[in-house]
Amino acid sequence: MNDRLRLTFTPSEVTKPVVCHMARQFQVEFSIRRADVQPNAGWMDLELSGEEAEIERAIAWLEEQGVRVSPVGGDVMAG
Amino acid sequence: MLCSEVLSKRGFWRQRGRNGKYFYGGACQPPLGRKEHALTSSAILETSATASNGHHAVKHSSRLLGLKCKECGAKYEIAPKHVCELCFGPLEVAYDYEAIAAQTSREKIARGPYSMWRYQDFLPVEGTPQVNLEAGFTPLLKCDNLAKRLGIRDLYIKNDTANPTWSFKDRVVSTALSRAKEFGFTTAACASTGNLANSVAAHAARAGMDCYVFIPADLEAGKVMNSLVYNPHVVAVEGNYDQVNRLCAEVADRVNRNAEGIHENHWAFVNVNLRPFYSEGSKTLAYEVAEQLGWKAPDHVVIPIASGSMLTKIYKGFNEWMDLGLIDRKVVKISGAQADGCSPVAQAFREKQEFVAPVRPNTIAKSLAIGNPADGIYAKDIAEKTGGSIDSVSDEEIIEGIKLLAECEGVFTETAGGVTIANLKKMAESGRIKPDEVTVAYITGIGLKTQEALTGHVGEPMLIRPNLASFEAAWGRKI
Repeated sequence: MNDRLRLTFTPSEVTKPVVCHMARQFQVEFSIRRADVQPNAGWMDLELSGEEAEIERAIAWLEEQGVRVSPVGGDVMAG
Repeated sequence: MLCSEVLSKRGFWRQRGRNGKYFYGGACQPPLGRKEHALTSSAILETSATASNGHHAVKHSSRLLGLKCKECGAKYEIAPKHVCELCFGPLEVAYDYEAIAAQTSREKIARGPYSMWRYQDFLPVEGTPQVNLEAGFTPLLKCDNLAKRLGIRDLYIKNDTANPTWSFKDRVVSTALSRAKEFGFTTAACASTGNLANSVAAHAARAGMDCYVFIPADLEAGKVMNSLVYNPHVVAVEGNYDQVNRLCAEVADRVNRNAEGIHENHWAFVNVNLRPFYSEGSKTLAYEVAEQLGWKAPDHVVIPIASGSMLTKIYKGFNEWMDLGLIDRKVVKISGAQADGCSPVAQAFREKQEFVAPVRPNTIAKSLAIGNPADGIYAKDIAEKTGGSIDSVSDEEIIEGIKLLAECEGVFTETAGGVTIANLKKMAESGRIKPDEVTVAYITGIGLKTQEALTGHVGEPMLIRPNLASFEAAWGRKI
């Protein structure tokens, strides 16, 4: 299974190696396609590959770290 | 085209990795002159997908060149897909404007139907539109009363409450589902809190398509009813804002893959896999205004921002007509309006940020409550380059905006329209709208759908007994 996600980092997380830790902690692989990381904030578009349950655990862990996880391409829910 | 060809044409470098696969790196082309968002050369892109990736491309007319990534410029066949396989940037429809110029004219447009389809030469639908409730060609109202209140002279509202399901969404949905029919889809789908769901359900019913609408489980009953009446499958999703969004994105992706993971056309998720086509429908908001003003562009437009798509397409629409000589060239100031409770684009504009940081929405303007706007950065760039602005207003100001438009011009708009009018007022008061500018404010949905927002904010009826004395007592005068 693959999930295409945008991770958004606030100033408190932007300097932490959270993606690296995620890959060590969970059985997922990531492929970074685009990113803009600046000293005070940033985002990263990546593809996560792995078992569905493992990806879900990785996403939940990222959110616990304060990283915003949303679909690539913006919100799907519309007005 | 293979990904290696695309990459080499875009100037990417290539090297063979330890596992024998090729890796690509390099920079993407920045849109609109903004700062580079791509990775530096120290980062690596691993690509595994072909450009078309198994999609069923259909034969297309000479007007349509294909799809093009707004970030890296990669090109694809016309197909139901919305993000670039290489950089995940958004795709949009690319046109052959010489072919369009050869077949269109003011006279031809003026002879067309009194709907958005009079502009079909500029839309990504090949034959007769198959999903059509006659959306568009809504009134452009000169608003002298409101203009006087705001201290400006030439003010118009584009009254898109007059559409078949009472919002501008009918334009984009009619475009998306007409294209979906051409792709061979038989099921329409969307995730929405209101207007989009209503429009997809109605158009699907008219087109005889099966329909799935995903809504948040806590959506008000009245809004659900406006979709249920058309008899779609309505799926109420429990969970927080981000969870609901991710689930809907996953559904849109998985439902269109077979057991081998290859894309197949099953569900037309209008604002996901059909997004490049869907969004083009908003260009008709520019064409109509220009035609209704006597084949000229206004000086300044004020547009509500949710995903930011509508703003970018109105800008594109004016510029397409200028490029083709259908209207005189000028810079139209493009300004955006958001609510304080969901203002990621306004915040990026104010702080001159290079990206739009997502927020969790909390505003009465539910139809603008998009916390992670797909086209937010492009909307911000357009406001900057045209001399417009993007601002936000409080929920109290939104209610006052709804009442101001209703009291001055007899138009009852939803909360999104209140956002537009309140921002218009703020801009006029601060001098960002010049008194002599021909200004158009886009009113995109009807107030009947968001009546709860006005509870306690409008007057009460006079309750009387059925006799004259009671009426005179309540009125305070003798007849």
